Amino acid sequence: MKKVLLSFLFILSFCLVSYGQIPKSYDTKYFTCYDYSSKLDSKSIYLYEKGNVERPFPLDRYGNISKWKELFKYIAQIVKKEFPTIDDEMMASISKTHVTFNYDSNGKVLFYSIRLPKNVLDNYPEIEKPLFNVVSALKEHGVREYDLEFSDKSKPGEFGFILRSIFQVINTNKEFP
Amino acid sequence: MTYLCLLLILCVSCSQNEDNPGQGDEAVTRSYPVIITYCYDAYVDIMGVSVYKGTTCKSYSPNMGGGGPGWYIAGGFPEYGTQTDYGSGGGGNGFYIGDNWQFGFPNLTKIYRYDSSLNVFQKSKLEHVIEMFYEDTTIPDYKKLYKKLLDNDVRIKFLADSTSVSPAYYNTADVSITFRYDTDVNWNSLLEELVHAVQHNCYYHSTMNAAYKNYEFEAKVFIDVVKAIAFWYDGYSFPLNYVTPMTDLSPVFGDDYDTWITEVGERGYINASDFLIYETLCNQWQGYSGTYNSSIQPELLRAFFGRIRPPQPPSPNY
Repeated sequence: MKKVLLSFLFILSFCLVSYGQIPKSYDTKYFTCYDYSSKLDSKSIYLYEKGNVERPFPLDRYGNISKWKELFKYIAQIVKKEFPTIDDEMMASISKTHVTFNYDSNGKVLFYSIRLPKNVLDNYPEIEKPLFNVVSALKEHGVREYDLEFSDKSKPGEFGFILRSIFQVINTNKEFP
Repeated sequence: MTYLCLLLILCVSCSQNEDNPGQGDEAVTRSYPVIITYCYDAYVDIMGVSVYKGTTCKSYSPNMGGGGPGWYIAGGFPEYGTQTDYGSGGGGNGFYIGDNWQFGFPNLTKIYRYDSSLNVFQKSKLEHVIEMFYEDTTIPDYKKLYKKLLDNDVRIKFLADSTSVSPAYYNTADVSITFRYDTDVNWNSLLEELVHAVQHNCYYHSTMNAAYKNYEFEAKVFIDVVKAIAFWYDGYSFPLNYVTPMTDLSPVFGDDYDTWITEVGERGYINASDFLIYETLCNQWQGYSGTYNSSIQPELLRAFFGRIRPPQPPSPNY
């Protein structure tokens, strides 16, 4: 009896730990979604390309993009095209969306992830498509033309941006030097 | 400007036949040395841009052997660590020791220790990276970090070692920074190693111990917090690549860290509650092999971000 009780407690504790650590994953129309909102203190979800959810191991000093300002301008163009009209409320909600992508020494985009608060997708499910179009365009475009500096060409580089900074570029029509 | 080849003939070779009554009709030949001086400009390619680094002149006499036109080979003399380099080390037509190249590294020289051993190419790259600490577009907290080194007159021994396993590392034993390859002499590598140099020389001194991951974690978090505050609080706009989550691929750590750093960035400083979460994150972080020591306080972070300050006006270039 004691053994059974101990086994039960072990399984229960394992389930509790798992509940706190392992995100729920499911496919949406455009992405594979990892939902961390079940985890304590988090309300985030991550969107990945379908079938490509394993983030490659970047090393923090590899794959610098020298002309990142040019890349920002390009991203601003595609974001503007995908979000031609956006009200302030929606803007406030999605502006914290963080896009991260990894690329190889040839500038090919290998992987991307989009981190955003869960309630954004709940409240604005229609943003999934423009987000998908933005990352797909970026993936197709690659980053080769933005002067990559690789210390070790076998390791991917990583680049990330928050939509807020892209909206700043769009709204202020700011020209980077 | 392409290289300069200045041919300066100080004295042409000549042979004279002179009447000499005392010698009858016998001809007398006198030789005068031909001295040819070549001057060459040295350029080092820095990130695709050719940067002038100095000029050397060399004189030789064909009649007396030796010399000949040479060329400058950047990086050919790693044994010289001071500002003056003396040629490409001999052999072939290259300039050699004694040619007295004069190079200028006005910013690097403020932190470059006498026993460093970078070659001219590496020093030129390092000078270029250090110039970024003086640029208007650089985030003020990074400049403040660099100024700490200057204010404390910290001199660093810079080395290159292609057998190193890490792109760059800081060694507390001899206050040195070692780069693995020439390509590792870049902003990202230098910045993190300079954070370690500030940690060591300005805050922890002899207590800094690589066996504990606290120091490594604090250095990476420092770089991230500077970016986060500049972005969220000060209104800068640039890519947000946080370095700490790149060293630990656990999505749980990544999510916890992103949540924490965003809150710190929006707040503009690290409050007591943030520091408690920071300790948890440090313990949780698997990006370094050292152990976590709860008694080590993040003094660098407290000094830089432990109190409220008004937002900084973003650089006009951002």
